[in-house]
Amino acid sequence: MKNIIKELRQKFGITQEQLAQKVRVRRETIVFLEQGKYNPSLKLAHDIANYFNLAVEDVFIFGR
Amino acid sequence: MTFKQYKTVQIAVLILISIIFSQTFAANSLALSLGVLLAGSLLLLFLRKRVKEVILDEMSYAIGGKAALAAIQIFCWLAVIMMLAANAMKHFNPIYGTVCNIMAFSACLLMLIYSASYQFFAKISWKDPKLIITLLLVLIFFSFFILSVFVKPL
Repeated sequence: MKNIIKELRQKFGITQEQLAQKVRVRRETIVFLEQGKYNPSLKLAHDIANYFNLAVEDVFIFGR
Repeated sequence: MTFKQYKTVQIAVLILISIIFSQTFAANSLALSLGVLLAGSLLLLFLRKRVKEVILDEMSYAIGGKAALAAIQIFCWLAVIMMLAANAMKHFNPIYGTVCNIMAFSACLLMLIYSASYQFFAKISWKDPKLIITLLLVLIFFSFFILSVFVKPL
């Protein structure tokens, strides 16, 4: 599953550490998410989308 | 306290506990060695509470679950191989027979604990017939191994 977390983070001017603190996960989780190596839970996906004031499907691109 | 500071202190405390524990245990001071272990564990627990950052999250649990399952499978296969090897060599030395039983016993115990933990976390009903049959089979094997380890043949 692809996502635009890195682009959004750069647009908002926040670091991985700051985003991790906001959504209550470890920085490594944000790194893995950005690299597309980890699929988040529904709650984490919602929290991240909510932080950027977007819908989950706008942040995460669901492939087949 | 930051997570990096906690990790540094944790390693230092673990090294210190290991040194003191080994020295006190070698000096036959069991009470002191147990006291050191307890104090060290409490100190680490106290330090962990002081960390404001997130130490474990959903990805840690996901990786931990996969790693635990892999460790259980690898251990069980190794136990089976060692059990067969020890069983084949028990004619050379009777102690290999005991080793064989203990390996089989350990693998069964591990599977029993895994089944119970899975049951607890998955919140499966204890009345599920598949679970009852599985647990009964494990218990029957478990009883056989206890008998073979602790009861000598007539």
